[in-house]
Amino acid sequence: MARLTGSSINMLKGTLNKVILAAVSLVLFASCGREGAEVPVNTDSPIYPDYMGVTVPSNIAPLNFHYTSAGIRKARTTVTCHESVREFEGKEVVWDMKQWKELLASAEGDSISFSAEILMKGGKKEKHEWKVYVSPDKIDPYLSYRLIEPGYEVWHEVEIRERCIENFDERVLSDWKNTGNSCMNCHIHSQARADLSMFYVRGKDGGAFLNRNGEIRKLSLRAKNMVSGTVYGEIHPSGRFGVFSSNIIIPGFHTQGSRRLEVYDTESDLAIADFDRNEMTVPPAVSRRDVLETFPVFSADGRSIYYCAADTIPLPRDVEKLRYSLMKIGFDEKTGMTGQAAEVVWDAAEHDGSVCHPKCSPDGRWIMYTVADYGTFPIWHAECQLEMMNLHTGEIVKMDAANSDRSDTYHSWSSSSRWFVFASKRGDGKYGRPYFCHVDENGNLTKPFVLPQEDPWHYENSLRSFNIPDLSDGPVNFDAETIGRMVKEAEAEVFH
Amino acid sequence: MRLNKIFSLLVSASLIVSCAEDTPDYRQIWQKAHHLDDDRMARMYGEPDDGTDNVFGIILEAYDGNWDKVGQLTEGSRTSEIHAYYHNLVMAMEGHLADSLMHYYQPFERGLFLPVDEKAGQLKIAASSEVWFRLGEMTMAEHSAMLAQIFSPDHFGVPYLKRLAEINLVNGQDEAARKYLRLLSQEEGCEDWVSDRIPGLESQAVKAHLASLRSFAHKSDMVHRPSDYRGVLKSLLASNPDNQLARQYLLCLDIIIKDLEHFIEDYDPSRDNSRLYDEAVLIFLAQRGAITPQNITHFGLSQEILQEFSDYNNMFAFSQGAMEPMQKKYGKTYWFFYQYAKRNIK
Repeated sequence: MARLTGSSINMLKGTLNKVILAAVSLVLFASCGREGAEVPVNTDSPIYPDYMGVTVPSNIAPLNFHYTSAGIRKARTTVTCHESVREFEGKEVVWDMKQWKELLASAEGDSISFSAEILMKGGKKEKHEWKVYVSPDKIDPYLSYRLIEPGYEVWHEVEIRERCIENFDERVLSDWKNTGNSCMNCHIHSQARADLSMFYVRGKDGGAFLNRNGEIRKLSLRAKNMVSGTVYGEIHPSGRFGVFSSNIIIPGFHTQGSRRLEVYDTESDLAIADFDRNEMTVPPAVSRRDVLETFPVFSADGRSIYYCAADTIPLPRDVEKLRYSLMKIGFDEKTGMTGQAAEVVWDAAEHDGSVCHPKCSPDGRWIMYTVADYGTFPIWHAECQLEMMNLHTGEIVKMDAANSDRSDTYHSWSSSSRWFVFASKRGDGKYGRPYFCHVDENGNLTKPFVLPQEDPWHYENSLRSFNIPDLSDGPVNFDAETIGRMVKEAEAEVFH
Repeated sequence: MRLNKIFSLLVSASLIVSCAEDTPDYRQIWQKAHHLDDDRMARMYGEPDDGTDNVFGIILEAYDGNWDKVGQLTEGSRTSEIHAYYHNLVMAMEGHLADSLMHYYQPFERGLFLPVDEKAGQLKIAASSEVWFRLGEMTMAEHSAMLAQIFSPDHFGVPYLKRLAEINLVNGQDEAARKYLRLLSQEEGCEDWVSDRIPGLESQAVKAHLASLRSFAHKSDMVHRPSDYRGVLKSLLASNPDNQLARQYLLCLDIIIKDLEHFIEDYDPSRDNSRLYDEAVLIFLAQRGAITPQNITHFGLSQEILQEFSDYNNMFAFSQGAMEPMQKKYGKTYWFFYQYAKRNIK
């Protein structure tokens, strides 16, 4: 599945793909054309992915798309930017890579105009016009994610991939084939740095795989006084420390069909890992028996830890009363110790909600988090929304431009703090897809757009979710074979 | 003479054809539904054999709700969890689960619900959504159908897509249903099935089918562990007391796991009628020294069954608990199951 193609191959591929896609669409058209069996596509937009009015970075891959109306006979798309005009015939618009890059370069800081004339079966005509804005703010060119079916709690044949979002190259960072079908958790970078990242391979030969200082280490991040091995967390900007939660995680099923899965912790604490000294510390201030602490992250300057905390209550009985506040506690990178007392940054009682997944922008200006009605696992909470706070003023920014009526979660910032990516279940309500959104220095957001794919039908045909999309400024220095070898051969470094 | 021979040849040829028509090639259907070529089919499931083909047939026919065929396919071969699971479902669909429960192999709760995990194997996982779906428990049905998809070769199978589409239609989640229907519309032979289910354009039969399943839906929400079968069944019944399938499954679950305290709590002698229930009540009362006239009246126990229970106990004492004679005479009673059936599974 992994594709490592050079740009020259890509240029050839563009032409080939058009031929293949034309053939595929003929087949699709033939099969969809059977009387009564054409199923409407899931969108109100005339095109999917919905790139109408979006803002994209000037280094994004081609925005291939298809028209969504049923019964299209002919479609002509005209794309204009300054003096340049390009035309596409047919239901799909698939770009040649070189032409797209030229167009983007000429449109930087400006917009590209699209105009469509569609002839329907029966003679009806449709016209659509829209623009795509091209921001001069580039986005980090790589995105990693776990591809997994939204299968609640059991995994099978999972893989973590890394995609170059300037084109369609994708490679596997770790997969089930090389790890004995182990489960693996998501790959996170520290402030979008390709040279500082981490993920887990679970199971008896697994461990935490730390990519730091040009080497990959396999770590057993567990100490006696922790309630479990490490789960959620982040690496300190210095690279020396990590802050993690250790959680006893319980999956529970809702009886009402549309609500599906609730995951909750019966115990959780925070712990600090010192990657230089192979030590784990469980600071008393963030490991209280009467409090569930989770989702810790460092502030951009590394001097504080933000995390979520809730009072313990009987679970699962009272799960709808489980509300996490956003907390902040000091961190001393000389000693690796937290402060003595935490302060409330976002009060769950005051806001009548529950916060999770905080992430600080690398420029130190924002903290973004997810707010749900309750709980600590919002991916099936349709009501959950992204929200961010200005860390200089404490002002909360509602993110209506980015949010949808489905779960919008698991965001990560670009190194420039001008873009973020998040997983959204908009569209079909089931399958998470990575959406990118631009944020300016005042916190103004633009309409988000989904990760472009070579095949414009990719998302309709895919039965996997993009889990924990995480941006990085370059490709990481490992691959699935390396990880597979380490799983089989390397002993995990013990932490005390 | 020659004409007769020709005629008889024609008759036998037509019989062969009709037999072939009566018994679909389930292996081939399974292979096609999972987009497998011959090599992969052989690698995944081995060379064709009647046992595996029979299981393919049971699973496929059950997905389509062809209970007569499922009944035929499980007939005479009920010594596996999967056969017990489906035969129990067929019996329950006919309202006879309790009456038939002791007449064939029962692997405790696994004959009622197939647990799904990575060790279960693809065929059991593929089967595991069926009971949940028919009960009206859509969360667990979807969980199982999703896992059936995940554990299939290439993570793909037409039956699971169909099930996922229907579950989302029942739940009113039309966007998700459309996704699965669109994928199915590209599958040969699915055109009519898809056309009948396009949200807003459903056929009358499909509308009725979906309405029936929706009538079973939970009216209140709770969060439960995957193995809390009893809690889910109680919730279904609290939402719709007329859910006969859930009622049979609840009582038979209590009985099959020998949880008689919960059985007595769940049992209503004025509406639940089966000899199996009477046999279970007698064990419960006997354990507490409570076979009193009041209880006999309350539970509607006949003199005949009281006498048989007494005979059972006398024979047990006389044979000093030897299993063989007890099985010969009482092998199809709950008394025998309660006393002798042992779990060989964890």
